[in-house]
Amino acid sequence: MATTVTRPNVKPQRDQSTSILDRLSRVGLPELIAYVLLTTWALLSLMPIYWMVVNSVKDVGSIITFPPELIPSQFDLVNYRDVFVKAPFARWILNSLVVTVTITGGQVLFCSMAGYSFAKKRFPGQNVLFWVLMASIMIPGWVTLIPLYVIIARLHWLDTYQGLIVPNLVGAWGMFLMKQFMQTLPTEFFDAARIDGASELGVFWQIVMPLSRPGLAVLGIFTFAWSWNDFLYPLLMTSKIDMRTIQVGMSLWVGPYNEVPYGMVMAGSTVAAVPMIVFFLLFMRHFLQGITLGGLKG
Amino acid sequence: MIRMAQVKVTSTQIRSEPGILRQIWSARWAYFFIAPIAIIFLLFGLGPVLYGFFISLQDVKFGSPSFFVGLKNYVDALKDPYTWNALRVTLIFVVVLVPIATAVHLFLSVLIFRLPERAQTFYKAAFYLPAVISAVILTMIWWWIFNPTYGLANYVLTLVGAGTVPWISRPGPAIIAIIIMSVAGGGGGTIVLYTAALGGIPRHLYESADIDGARGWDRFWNITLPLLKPTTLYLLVTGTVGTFQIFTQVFLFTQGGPARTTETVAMLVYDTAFLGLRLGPAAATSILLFGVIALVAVFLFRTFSTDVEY
Repeated sequence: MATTVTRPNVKPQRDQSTSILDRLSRVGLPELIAYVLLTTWALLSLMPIYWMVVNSVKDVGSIITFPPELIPSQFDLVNYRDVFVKAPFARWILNSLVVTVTITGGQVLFCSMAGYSFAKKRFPGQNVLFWVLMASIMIPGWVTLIPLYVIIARLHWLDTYQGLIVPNLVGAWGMFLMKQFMQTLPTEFFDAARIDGASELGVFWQIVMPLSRPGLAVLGIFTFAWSWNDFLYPLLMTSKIDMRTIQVGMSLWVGPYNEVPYGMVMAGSTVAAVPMIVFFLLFMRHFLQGITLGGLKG
Repeated sequence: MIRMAQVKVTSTQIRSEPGILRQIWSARWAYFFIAPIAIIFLLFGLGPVLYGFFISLQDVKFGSPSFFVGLKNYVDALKDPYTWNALRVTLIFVVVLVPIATAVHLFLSVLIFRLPERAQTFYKAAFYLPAVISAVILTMIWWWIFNPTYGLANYVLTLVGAGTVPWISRPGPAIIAIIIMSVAGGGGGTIVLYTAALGGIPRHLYESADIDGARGWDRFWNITLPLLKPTTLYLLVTGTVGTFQIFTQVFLFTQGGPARTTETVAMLVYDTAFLGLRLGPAAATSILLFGVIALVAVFLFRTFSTDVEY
């Protein structure tokens, strides 16, 4: 009887050492279409950034041309000089830095304090307080902005750093984040430390906080980005040009009431955006983590 | 005289819960840690909300004393045609932008999800990057792109033979431009969220569907989509609440023009309060907006929230 020897059907394992070409040839049509669509859309998404940087190094005459120059033929830093000379841009950067850094530090500290308390401690009124705080997230910003403006005005905090900083030192989202995170920390550690004689502050500062670093990182990163980019609140709380933040200051350049300094807009935007881009690329993992922490249950 | 039950306290008896003051004292550290957030929140979070209601019932103007006018501000707001105009514009944004953006970004997420890890991270980063740059900067760049004379948008249109569009000077195109800007330039957060949620769908569901002979669209419609409902609900609600308050993009793009035809409710509140210096009416309008948003949010919750068992 003839026996047919069947060779076992061995599929080649996908291993890391295959070349791009090999992998491309294994990609099916659906994947290819996906790549094409995604790349097109990604280009669309990134295009404004490219356009901003490219235009910032053209002189104004070359920006306002038709057809627009897609690849810059020159490299001129005149706009960057203008930005710092014709507007208090350096002051705006300083304002943004002061406000953003302080707010970030404040939120990281105060939200983790509150989160720790809600996560690990029992006290009367805990539930009520928690839900009131959470409910505040649901309230649209605009409802609070006008009364907040009046309060800040009455405190004589308009056009001051404290006016820009203090109301933003805490956030319900940040507190929620830290509470969720700290709930996962083992309480036995803290109890053990207390038995060993550590004070409450000691337990918090020397044990809870170091253990919470991942959560703190996410909170810090998002707060920093949010505060640096905040527009509405600083717009309302400042009227003196010297106290504006970067975002508000630049927004004053566009509008129908003035000759828009296109070059400055592009250069200023680049200066304001580049730190955030670098920041994002450095901490990308934390950014992506943080978004899911906010939006997914459990 | 109230008869009290006579209970002999013995050492073996469980002690009743300590009084409220005792509890507060023993939890004093908890209160200490909560103090900063509680104080700031009360002063600058909750306080303003209550104060806002109060202001809306008054005729508050700068420089002159304010006096109580009851519901006059609300009535005036509801009678003002500009209020309804702003509501109309805002609703256009909400009804058009939120579903389209969510659907498009869901589609992109599904595409991304099939790719290997490195590619996924690359695309997620590419889509999220615009969100890291401020809305102000992004809007200004897109505003320049949509410039009718020198912008890229009309340039591309002329290249393909279509005519130019008066993007900024007419309300219709302006609104469309803002929508394009939001859909094309935004969505990073949505995409990251959806791709994470897609990862949470158990594989075995797809496998059983494959055995039953389900094809691509069936799989998507009957498994993926329902299981993404919680995430979709979250995104729809946050997107709707956010879009109802759209301000920055419109403020920078058209300043509500031409002739207030692109004015959103948020812009109306801003104009009334800070250009018209009428805080009372502005507060009333903002609270009306709050009411509308709350209603819509409740409606969304009712419609989309179902318990999905798997």
